[in-house]
Amino acid sequence: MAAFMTVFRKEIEDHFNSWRFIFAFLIVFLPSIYYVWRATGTIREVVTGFSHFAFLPLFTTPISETTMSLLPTSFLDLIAMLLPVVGIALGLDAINSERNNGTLSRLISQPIYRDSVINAKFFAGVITIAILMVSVVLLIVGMGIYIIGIPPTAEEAWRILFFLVIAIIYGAFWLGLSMLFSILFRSVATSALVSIAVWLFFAVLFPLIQQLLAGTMTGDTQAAAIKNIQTLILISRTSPIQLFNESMVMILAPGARTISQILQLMTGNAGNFLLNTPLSLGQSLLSVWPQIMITVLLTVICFAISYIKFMREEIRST
Amino acid sequence: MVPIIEAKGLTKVYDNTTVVDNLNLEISEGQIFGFLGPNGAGKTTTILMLMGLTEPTKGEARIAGFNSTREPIKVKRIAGYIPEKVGFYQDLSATYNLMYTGRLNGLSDTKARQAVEQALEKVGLQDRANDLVGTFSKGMKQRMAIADILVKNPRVAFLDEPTTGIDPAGITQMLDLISQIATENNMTIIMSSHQLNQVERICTHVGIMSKGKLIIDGSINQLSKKAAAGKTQIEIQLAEITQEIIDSIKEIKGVTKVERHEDLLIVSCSEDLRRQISRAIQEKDGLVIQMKLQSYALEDIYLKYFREA
Repeated sequence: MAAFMTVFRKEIEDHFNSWRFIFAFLIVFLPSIYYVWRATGTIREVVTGFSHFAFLPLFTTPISETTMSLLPTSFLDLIAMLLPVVGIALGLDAINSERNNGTLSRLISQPIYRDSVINAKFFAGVITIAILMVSVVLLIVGMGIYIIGIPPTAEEAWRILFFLVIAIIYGAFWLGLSMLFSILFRSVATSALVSIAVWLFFAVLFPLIQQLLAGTMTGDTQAAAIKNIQTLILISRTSPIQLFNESMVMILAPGARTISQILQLMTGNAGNFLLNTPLSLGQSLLSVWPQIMITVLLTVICFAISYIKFMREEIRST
Repeated sequence: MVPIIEAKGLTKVYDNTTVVDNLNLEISEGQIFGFLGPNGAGKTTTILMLMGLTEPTKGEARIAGFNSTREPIKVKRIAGYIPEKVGFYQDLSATYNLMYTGRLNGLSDTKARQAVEQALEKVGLQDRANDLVGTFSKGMKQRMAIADILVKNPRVAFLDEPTTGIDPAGITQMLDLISQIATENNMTIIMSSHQLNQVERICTHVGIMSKGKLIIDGSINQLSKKAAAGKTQIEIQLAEITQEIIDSIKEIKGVTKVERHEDLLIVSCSEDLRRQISRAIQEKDGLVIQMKLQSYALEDIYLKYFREA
């Protein structure tokens, strides 16, 4: 435990002293300002519509009409797209740079367990992501209050808190993934490229493939149409980015039903089809529980592979 | 005496290649053990197995009675290891790098700071304590490695090729440091190298490895004597060389050849005849400035296996 704390402390200090952290912060913070500022411009129309919250739409309101664009549409979308970059940036050279520098063999010849090295590096990354996200969101909330003049209600504050927690789990998944690549690949350039490739695939290519698939699906009957939509939803859930997006919409925009929810309601008990009533906080959490669990599970899988690879590996300095 | 390092039938096989082959070794506390062998002889792999960083395919390694494979943490608490390509965090200061080692070994911050200051002073880097390691030369990094060992202060230290890539002055400084810390901190040191002259300079004991096998091991004196027969050379520097002196040396029993190289006399003999020779010189009123025993026995053994490998 003492060794864990020592490594953890050093890693945290490293993160906060690095240019990388400053860049990661700016990459998330600057576009966030823009997105929330744009959202304040349209918030009047949204709130006077059928939203039950006045503050949360700042996070979810699309800033432009073009939904086909690959650019993120709202602040939420932006976080879904950029948080992976932060996670990857913090973890992409966690192990292989130490190996290449020759510090790893010196480190593991000290009286510490190998897993404390991975654990400490991972948790230091998670704490860094947490601090980054909390600061960005607090700054954004402050800006929102200043511009629109109303503070979030208690429930809205809770929802923002849950948004933060889930965002941190989401960032942790990408951190775990890039750390796994840093163990699998000797060269930092390779592990960075592979991590970025995975992110690009899910952020850019995946939606395109989805659109392509949707275009090929045909169905005359209502049942066939529903089945097609179900298939599409199933496919979309293999993307961690979509999982995060889906769960976040349910937390931050409980009035707006996602397609999958509407589908559930349509195919299930039609009596519950009450579109205009937002889900309570508890119900929102309950409905995103599977998405959160899958993200946690994906992180655990990354970790398990990292462990197996790292614990059994022979580490030489040359 | 119970040996502090013990290897029994240590074997390591990688993909059908036997890198270390049934190695038996005992090293007692307080020795400076020179681990000689050409590149690829299996020195590093042996050290890794002794440190518990690699699992042996067969056999077992013990350090101070602890099994290196099953109790690696206990072994790592009493044994330090400096890899061949030693690395430090380039963008952190020398002090921070060494503090990290201290903390990882359970020292409190105050104690670690003390140990780091002392260690840096010992290796002559106290003026660069707060500079980033990235700005250090290769020789300075090697001295950092010694400081690293000093901060940890283990009972046993494995130094893998501590003199590679540094200049001759640096090598001398390095070897002096190693023999100093061995005596001052009562540390057993295992130093691998492929340079016989370096090993001979500071090591009390030596083991020669080739193709995964330990060919010969023992104390340097013992080994030199054992294989010395007829291969000893004595180098004498005299204030003035006269034919008389040369003749009288030639008369000593056991001397086979006397050669003159400018102000040096090279005497070839069957064994160490320094006492007899100096007596002969004194009788002829000669003044000895320097007399050096050169035994090529160990080198012969070493080169023989070096060539085979």
